[in-house]
Amino acid sequence: MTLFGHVDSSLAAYVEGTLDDATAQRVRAHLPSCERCRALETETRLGHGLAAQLAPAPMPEAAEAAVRQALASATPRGTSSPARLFWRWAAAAASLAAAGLAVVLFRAPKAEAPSPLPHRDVVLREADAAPTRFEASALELHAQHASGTLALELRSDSPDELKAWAARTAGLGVNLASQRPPEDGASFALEGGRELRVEGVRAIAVAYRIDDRPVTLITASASDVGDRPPAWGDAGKSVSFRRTPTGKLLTWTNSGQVYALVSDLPGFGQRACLLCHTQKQRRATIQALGLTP
Amino acid sequence: MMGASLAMARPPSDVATDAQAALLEACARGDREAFASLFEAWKGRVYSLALHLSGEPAEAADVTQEVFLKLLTRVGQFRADARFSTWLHRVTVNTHLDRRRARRRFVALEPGDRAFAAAASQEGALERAETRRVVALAVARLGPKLRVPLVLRYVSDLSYDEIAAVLGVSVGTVGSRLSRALSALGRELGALGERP
Repeated sequence: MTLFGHVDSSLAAYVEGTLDDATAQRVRAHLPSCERCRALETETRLGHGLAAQLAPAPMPEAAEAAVRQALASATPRGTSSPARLFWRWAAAAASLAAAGLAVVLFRAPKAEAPSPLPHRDVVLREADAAPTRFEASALELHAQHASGTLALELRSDSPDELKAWAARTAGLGVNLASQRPPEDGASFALEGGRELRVEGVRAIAVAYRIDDRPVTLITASASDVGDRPPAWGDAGKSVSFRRTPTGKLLTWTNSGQVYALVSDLPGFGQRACLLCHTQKQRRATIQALGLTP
Repeated sequence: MMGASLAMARPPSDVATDAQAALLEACARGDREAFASLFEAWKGRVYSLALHLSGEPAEAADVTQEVFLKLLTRVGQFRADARFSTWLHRVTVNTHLDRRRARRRFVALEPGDRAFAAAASQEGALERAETRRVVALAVARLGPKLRVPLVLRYVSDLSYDEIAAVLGVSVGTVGSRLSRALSALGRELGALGERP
């Protein structure tokens, strides 16, 4: 609020829906009597809708190769010559890849660093149809999760306990990793699960946090859910992406189950997938995901 | 259903996680795998931020290169009491601003540039891609005080608190600048935003 009671500075948070209740109420009370702020609110809301369409852009391979080349010419102070050789090797390999002569392998002399699986392995496409009932349920649950009102039937930070509970309760599999890689640290925190019914279809929701941000995963048997993404197979792994005011939604069908994953994590929210995926190559593929035409 | 131990999420913190701190320490010692991990983990976010700040793919690549060169040579200076993400975003923003001041001119994308829009085969996807490109160009034309927080919020997905930490301003200032940025965007492209 400003000195004269105008609400300019609060409008961005207001249109995003992130203002605290008291301030939001003051804005709502002010707008009907202030033409200036009403006009600003309209413009801000339009701007929010436009800005929400911005998306991370993947780094082109040629640009990445050029950066690696530059890094090869510089070394951290006090590093040994093997480090210099490594960066030169990496730059040379990147140059070959840019010329289409080799696959870029970010390889250390002794231990093998992960290279992403080919991007054609995972196909991320933006959804253009209205959300399905299954997707809408995932978004509703995530909104509850984000607001702290999601009731969990099982509260547990044990992946094995959650997996057993999902199998016992609904006959559904949730491929939670029993052991976290060291780089995850305490960033990943399971919270628990609950059973739900989506138009009579039995489903399981798993609530967890990554970087202290809520993530919600629901899954159901594929044979029970219509209008689902194509099942993974020899043709590739298709994942549907949708950006909504509630969060970023990823849906896919694999091994007889449909999954919907909601978060507000950066990019396409793909970091949320790392809860289940701990293998280095797969993680590299997931984190490098971009939209496929 | 009887529950087990209560899942305790780690509270928000301004300090680097233990795992992140260990990775940075390894980088400072010249560990090649550690720096490779950092580069793989952050290259996309740094590039994307630089692209939306500058509006130019080549400039974004140059900023990315400069940021990681700085990281390579200064990783030992990173203070363990600061969040690495905040530090890296700040370095990226400052690198962009420094380079822009040095160039003293703004070069917009050519109308045909597809840096922000993936090729699409369906009509709906084409229109979305074109809208995204137009919006990105408009954002790149905003003054830095409005452009930077808007990109940090809508591309880098930082919270108001995180943006405030990156820019060294108050949360209130972040809110005010975001409001002005969105309002400016809405004024310039309002008709586009109203399309069905």
